[in-house]
Amino acid sequence: MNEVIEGLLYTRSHEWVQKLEGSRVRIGVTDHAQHELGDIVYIELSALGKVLAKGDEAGALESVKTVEPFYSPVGGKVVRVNEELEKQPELINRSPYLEGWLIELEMDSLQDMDGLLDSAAYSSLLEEA
Amino acid sequence: MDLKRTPLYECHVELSAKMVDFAGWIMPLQYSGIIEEHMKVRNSCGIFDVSHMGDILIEGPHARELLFKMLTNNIELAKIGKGIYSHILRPDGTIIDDTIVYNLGDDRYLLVPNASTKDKVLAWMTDNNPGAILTDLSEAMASIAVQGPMAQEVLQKICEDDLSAIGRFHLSRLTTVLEGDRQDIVNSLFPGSENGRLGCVACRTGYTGEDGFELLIEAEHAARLWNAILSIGGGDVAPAGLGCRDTLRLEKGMLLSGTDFDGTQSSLQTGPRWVVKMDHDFIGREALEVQADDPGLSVLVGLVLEEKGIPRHGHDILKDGVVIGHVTSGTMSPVLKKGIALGYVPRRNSRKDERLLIDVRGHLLEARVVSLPFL
Repeated sequence: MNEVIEGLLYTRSHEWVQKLEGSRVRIGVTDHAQHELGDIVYIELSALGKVLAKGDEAGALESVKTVEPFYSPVGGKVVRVNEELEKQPELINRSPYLEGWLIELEMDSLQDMDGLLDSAAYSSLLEEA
Repeated sequence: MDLKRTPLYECHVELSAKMVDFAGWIMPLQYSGIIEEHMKVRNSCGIFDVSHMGDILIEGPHARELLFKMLTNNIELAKIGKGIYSHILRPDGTIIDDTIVYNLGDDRYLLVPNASTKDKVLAWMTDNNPGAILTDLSEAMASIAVQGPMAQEVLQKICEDDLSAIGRFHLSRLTTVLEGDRQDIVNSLFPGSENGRLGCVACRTGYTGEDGFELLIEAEHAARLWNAILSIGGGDVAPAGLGCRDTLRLEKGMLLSGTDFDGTQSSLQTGPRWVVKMDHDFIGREALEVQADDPGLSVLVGLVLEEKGIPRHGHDILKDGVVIGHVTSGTMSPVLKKGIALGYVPRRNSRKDERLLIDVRGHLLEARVVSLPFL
């Protein structure tokens, strides 16, 4: 339950950020988030090329019961989306940190990473809740 | 407000259910996952804790008279040992609740209201009571719904009586193979011999569109029956939560009290058509007679999305750029793998195959009116 991966950065709204090469980052939602939502059956992701500010709605995850938006933890341009999720949205439930990633951004500024939580801080956030 | 716990609460905790607040009760939303539980009920068997639902016993020489007045459906159609689905209306025709009423014989009836409306229904009956004796058994009784094509097969393994003898919408006393001493309430509902076995009352109905039984049992024995069904059923049976109960009933076009009717709609708007029998004098009848001629009346229809997306409660329904109604229930149908919804639209837009748009969070998605049930 509620797996947290070391080396990723996290938001209070349960997204994760993985730093790739250069100013590119990969974004997804955490194990906690997918547990809370339950079976995810449909996803909506920002279009390629869309420019997002930090905190902008970057898409939505729909489970059987409900729909939850997810927010871009950093600002930047959408350069890749996980097209596999259109066919298999359940990948987010099965593998939230690997196959269930959502989008990749080319960041405007590395400073956007400031204020994100490391795995220890995110873990304690989950324990408090 | 403190949430109420059903007699099966500890069973759900033990099964690591995700619990939610539902109508003042803490209830299991899901165990293994909504889709998995949904398919289990469609393909083999699932068991639900529905102890939050009410049980009101109506007795005496005035019982029939009260029900005649309260129910849109005609209580005469409920022969002894049989139940009928009905609505209960206010004088203006709006629905207080939908319910099933069983005829136990000897001027005794069992009315099963929804959890959220039980107190309202009881108060309404008390206000309009010509002299029937009303007893609220809700706290004393637990209820377990055994649902799915294998429901009879699973349940038969722990019952001494022949389940195939119970017809659809009928109820009967069951004697299980479990040990049990005195069961005063079951005896009062359904006199019968105890012979040291645990008894319950089985109604062949449910809220999933599948074959199945709702078992009424005294609260203190409920956990034992629940665990016995789970263990005897092995891989054929699994616990199922309110999450899949909602998706299962929606695929079958069944109404959810408080959601598909919220106190402002009439039975003519919700349907089904047969729930209103104009052959008797029930509260709300005059209002329905007036409504029957109203061409602008909004009615509940089934909608299937023609594109990807999921309609939800509150979404706008549009025709030619104008909002004509709202979605009341929506989900992704686990069987059809399409977005499905119930919603209100004017009668002129309610015909089968009418093309409409649903505003799904800013996206206008094409939808088509279909006849219910969805499957």
